[in-house]
Amino acid sequence: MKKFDGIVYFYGIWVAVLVVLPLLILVLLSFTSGDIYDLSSLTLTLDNYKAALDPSYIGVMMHSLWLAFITNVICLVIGYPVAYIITGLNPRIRNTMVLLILAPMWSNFLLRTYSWMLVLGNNGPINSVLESIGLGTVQLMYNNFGVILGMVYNFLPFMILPIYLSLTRIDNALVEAARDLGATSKDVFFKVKLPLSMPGVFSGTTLVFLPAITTFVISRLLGGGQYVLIGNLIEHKFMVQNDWQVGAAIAVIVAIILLVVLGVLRKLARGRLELSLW
Amino acid sequence: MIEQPTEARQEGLVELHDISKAFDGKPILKDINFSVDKNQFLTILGPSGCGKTTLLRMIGGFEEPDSGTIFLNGKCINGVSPHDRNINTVFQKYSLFPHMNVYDNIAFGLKLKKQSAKTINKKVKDALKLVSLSGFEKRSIEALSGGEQQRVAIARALVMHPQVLLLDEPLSALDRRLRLDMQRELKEIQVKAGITFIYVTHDQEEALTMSDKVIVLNNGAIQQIDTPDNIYNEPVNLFVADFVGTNNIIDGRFIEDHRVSFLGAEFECDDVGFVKNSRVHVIIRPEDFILGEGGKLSGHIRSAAFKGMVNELVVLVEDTELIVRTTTHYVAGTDVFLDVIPFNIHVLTEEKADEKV
Repeated sequence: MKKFDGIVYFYGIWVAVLVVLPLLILVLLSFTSGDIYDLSSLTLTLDNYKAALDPSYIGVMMHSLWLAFITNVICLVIGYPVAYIITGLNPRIRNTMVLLILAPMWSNFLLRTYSWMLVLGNNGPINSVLESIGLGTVQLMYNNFGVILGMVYNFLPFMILPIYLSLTRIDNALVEAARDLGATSKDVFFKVKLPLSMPGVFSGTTLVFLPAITTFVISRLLGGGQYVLIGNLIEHKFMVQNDWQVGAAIAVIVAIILLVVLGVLRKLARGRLELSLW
Repeated sequence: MIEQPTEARQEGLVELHDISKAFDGKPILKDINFSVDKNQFLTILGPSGCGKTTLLRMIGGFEEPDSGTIFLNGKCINGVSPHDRNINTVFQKYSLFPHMNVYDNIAFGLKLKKQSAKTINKKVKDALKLVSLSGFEKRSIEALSGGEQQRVAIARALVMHPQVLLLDEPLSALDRRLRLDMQRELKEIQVKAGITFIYVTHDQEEALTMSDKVIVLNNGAIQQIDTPDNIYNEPVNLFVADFVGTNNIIDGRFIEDHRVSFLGAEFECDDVGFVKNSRVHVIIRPEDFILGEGGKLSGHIRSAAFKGMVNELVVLVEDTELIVRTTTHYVAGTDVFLDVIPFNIHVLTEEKADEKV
């Protein structure tokens, strides 16, 4: 028990220093003006938020939310059936499949995204084929399509795995009980498996939506220089314009939006469970 | 699948004909034949791994026999999927749907049948009343005790008005006190609902208490099909004698019809037809010994244990330890005489004992 306490303290300090403190600094920055390296020069202000709520920034925010939403829907539409199919395989093949889904993560995220640039580029294999059969070059990146494809590709495993886990956790005896009471395969899916896998869908959505809305690497590489998502905007404020305070304000607004969205999702997932799709 | 000619069939509600099943080449069930009548409480009794759950799952439609035929109402139901059989199951772990409350669990099957909300409402209420859980409609499954979950599982199956209800060790997860209560209640529910029960258990007490008919199963083969009374008092072989209740199994010699000797004394018995002077097993129930000042056997009380209603003694007679139950108080270390009346002596031969086990 003592040893356990030690770990808890260590973890507490870890979280405090690396998570809570940076967040506090971020919030502090967002409400102040002045030299950020000189505490005495800082004065409280709401100007940063006024700047952050500039219509063009709000437009970027809405666009980011929209793309993250589309990405999430696509991941769900692809990921749920994949997870469902894997669950039905025999255990040995099942583990191999899970490993295969995880396999791309063994290589660097940046490298994988660069690889997509090669694949999607105007001189890439897809366009070469299209050109050779006389269809001409199609713009596959530096647009919404490229960004969404990059995000779906990178975040899909985070949707598949939680759904897979929640599906495998469903006791087969429940399926048998449902069949015993007259359920067809369709009934079993919609009335037992789907409602019981909703926690997995919720976790998957959280894991996809969060990185999708804040990504700036995928949008930079596959969206091109002119393509701005909220992640790029924040990065730009911090790294290029050196305007940390407005950047912090935008980051705080995004964080609040995410909390609200996830809160609503969680509530929906619960309600779904209780209603159990009848 | 073997097609049975219809005229060769008997009257049973459920009938199993020559059912065999193997898993990975290992035989689980061998030539199972039995029938269950309407409104009967049948128990399949056997040790774990004897194939009793597989047998039940076949009747429920969750496994298919390798060979043999299962009849329901005279119709072959081999290959008929569980939801098309008028049979419902109460599973060992209850298997209630955790995402639904008590009402929705019980209404599950009725809603699938697309019955009207009013009918469903009434049936669920009646079912809850039958299992003494009125007012529990809105409770969540997690909030129920083991016994209550058990009852919901029974209600969920009964509400479908099956012709046959299958129960797979439904009481094994409950503590002893609750188990005894539930045994009585289950029997009551069965009589009230007027439904045939096929009940699987490894607990001989449960089997004897509730059943109209008991099938003793071991190593995938039926050992005995009989009334609880006969299973207890007239076991057909050593396995049944040993598995059902505590029994003294004593080596003996069959002298002639109505005469058997064991532990150095000759006894009158009811058994006839064994080979003269052959070696036999003599089965005597612990409660069937008469203790007193005189008797054919003289023994020494090794130990005496108080078991509530009875005292259980271990009595040594000629190097053989006998378990004896009596309501009279005895002290360990004293000598005692034992006797048995002919009716309580039960003779089995080695061959008869071994042929089926």
